[in-house]
Amino acid sequence: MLDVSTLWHVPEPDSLVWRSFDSYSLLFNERSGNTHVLDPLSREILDLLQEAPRDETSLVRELTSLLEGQDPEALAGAVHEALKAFDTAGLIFPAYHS
Amino acid sequence: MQENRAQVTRDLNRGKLKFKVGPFVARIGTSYPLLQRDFLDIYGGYPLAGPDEFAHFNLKVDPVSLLRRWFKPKVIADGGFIASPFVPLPGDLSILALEMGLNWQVGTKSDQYLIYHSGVVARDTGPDEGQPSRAVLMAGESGAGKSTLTAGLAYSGWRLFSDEFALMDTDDLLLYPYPRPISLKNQSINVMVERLGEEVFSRPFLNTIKGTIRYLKVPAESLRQGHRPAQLDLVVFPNYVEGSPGHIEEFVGAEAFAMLRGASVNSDRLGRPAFDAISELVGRCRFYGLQYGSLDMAIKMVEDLMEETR
Repeated sequence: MLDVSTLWHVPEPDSLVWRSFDSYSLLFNERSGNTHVLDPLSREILDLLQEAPRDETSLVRELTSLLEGQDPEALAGAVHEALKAFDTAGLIFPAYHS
Repeated sequence: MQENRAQVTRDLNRGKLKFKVGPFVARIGTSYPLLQRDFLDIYGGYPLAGPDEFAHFNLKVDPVSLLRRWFKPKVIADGGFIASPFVPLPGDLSILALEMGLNWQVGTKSDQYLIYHSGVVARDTGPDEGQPSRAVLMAGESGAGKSTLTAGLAYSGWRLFSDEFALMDTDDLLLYPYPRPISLKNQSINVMVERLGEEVFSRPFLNTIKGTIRYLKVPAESLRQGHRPAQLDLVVFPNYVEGSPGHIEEFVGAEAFAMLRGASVNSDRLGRPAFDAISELVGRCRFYGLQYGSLDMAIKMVEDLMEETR
């Protein structure tokens, strides 16, 4: 389980290479050599974390106000899953590691 | 090679035969007479390389022991690896050991190219070498019919680049020919023998791990033009389904990217250049899944799609 109060950030954002196709984004991580396919919500989450470190609660709050009319519970679940996936892929780190 | 059979056999015995295949020079050695005959049968039309030319690959295929040279012969490929990835094969299948050895060397030691596990054929737009040829790349699961389709197109006016590996330069995104004999299996053999006759085939190799295999020789024109690159315009994922009336599905964007990247052998090793190259191809080429019920149907699908992508 991820701690909702953990501050997450994207280390070395310059090492992320983006390409956009239709609604999906391709991301090549030069640090790991891995390629990822991101849906629009995941892309938005990673963009926000690139701007500044955020915790899960503040991400859900910002995305709820951005995506009006979305089911807040479903959105919170999607953010949680995205953070878990980013953490596993080494795309984000707790901010105290920086 | 064909006109110097005696010299070629001597060079094979001494492990010094160098021949050109696409952009590579391969140095081959074998003292096993049956393999020497099978090799000359399917590689007889290839150009020899000079003794001082750099050899990209070195491969020897010989009996595993003196005993096994004469009794229930067994051979093994030796590519100079410390831990050999090859397994011994019966002497009668020694050409498979050589083919697998060459494939292994290309797949693991040719990172100057972005390599896709796929068939490639191209159509020349004119006799002038300055005019780029237009290529179609055929990728997909083993057994989906890509070798049969590659073979059908290679003998229908298209130039064979490869049945196994597409070699792409990530700087200019051009594909380079690597024409090797096409390995056809089981029912595909009958389909192609019916169309082309026996002469362009090797003898059958029975009881391999994939059933019966025969090698289809590379058309002479494809060997003559073996240095001429092509621009990739069309990527197809063929799938033979008996009795299918034919179905075409287009792939775009991230899905097309994932499918082409999935066909790549070394994109992980190449990293950023591979990502950039495949991304650019997704914006520039058309990608289709082809379900087909006969070889003629698949050839027509490819020709029509290539015409549409002009």
